[in-house]
Amino acid sequence: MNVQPYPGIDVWELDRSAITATLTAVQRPGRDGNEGGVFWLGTRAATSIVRAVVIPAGDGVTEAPGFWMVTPEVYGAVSRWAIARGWSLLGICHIHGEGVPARLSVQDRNHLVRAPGVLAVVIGTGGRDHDPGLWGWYEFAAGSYREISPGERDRRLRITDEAKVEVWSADLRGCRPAVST
Amino acid sequence: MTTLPQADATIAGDPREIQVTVDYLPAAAPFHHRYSPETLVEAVRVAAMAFFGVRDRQDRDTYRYFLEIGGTRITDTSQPISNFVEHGRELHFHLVEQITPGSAG
Repeated sequence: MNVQPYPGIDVWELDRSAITATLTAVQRPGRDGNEGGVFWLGTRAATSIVRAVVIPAGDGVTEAPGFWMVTPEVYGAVSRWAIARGWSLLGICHIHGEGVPARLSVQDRNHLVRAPGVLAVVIGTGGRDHDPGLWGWYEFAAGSYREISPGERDRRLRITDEAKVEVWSADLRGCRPAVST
Repeated sequence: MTTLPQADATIAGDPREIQVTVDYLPAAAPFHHRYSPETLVEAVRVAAMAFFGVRDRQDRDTYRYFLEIGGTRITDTSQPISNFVEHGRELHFHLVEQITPGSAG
């Protein structure tokens, strides 16, 4: 009755609209000198497709210099919303501030979700690095996050222009469509 | 006194059994299992954690997994799961992680 919870992932499909939505979302805390981030959710399979960018913000989320934390209650709210759509957490993308390398810190490695195949992506300069090639790309595998080399990233990350992703915000009260400001 | 409920729970298709589902956000499939109403939340939590390949841990900070239902995190896991059934014979939990920062320095 139970099936494998983490199907292997060969390729991640990420639409450019997800990249745009991610950058727009993380630049808000970045402008204030804080860390912040988004979740990438979608269908998990051999080819996993990012369908939505979820922006945790507000109640239940801490954005501070050098620190971003989402409470379990917000994870729960996102989980209830995602399960209804058949979507899983595919990646967590967060920013580092000016002068901080776009690489996972020890704290990042410990605090981020630890499940096989989950992507951890770090955008430098407070979210102003628009080129995903400059971002730090990591995959959780065999008990820890390992960096994805540029060659592997080129092979496994497929950037598309096919369908706009949904953009939602999340806090303690739940998820709702994000409003552009 | 304690054998009767346990004996009841071992009978296949026991009508008192509760169908428990646990979702975990990174996973593509949920954990399913049928439990007797007397089963403690802790037993479900431990089984779900094993299924999803996660565990409580501690370094400088403390990482602990909780079941939550309807937006409420269950901190007292010594309760029977029947406490959370509102109607029918089904329960749907979500597994979430709580990180408690350790003291700095």
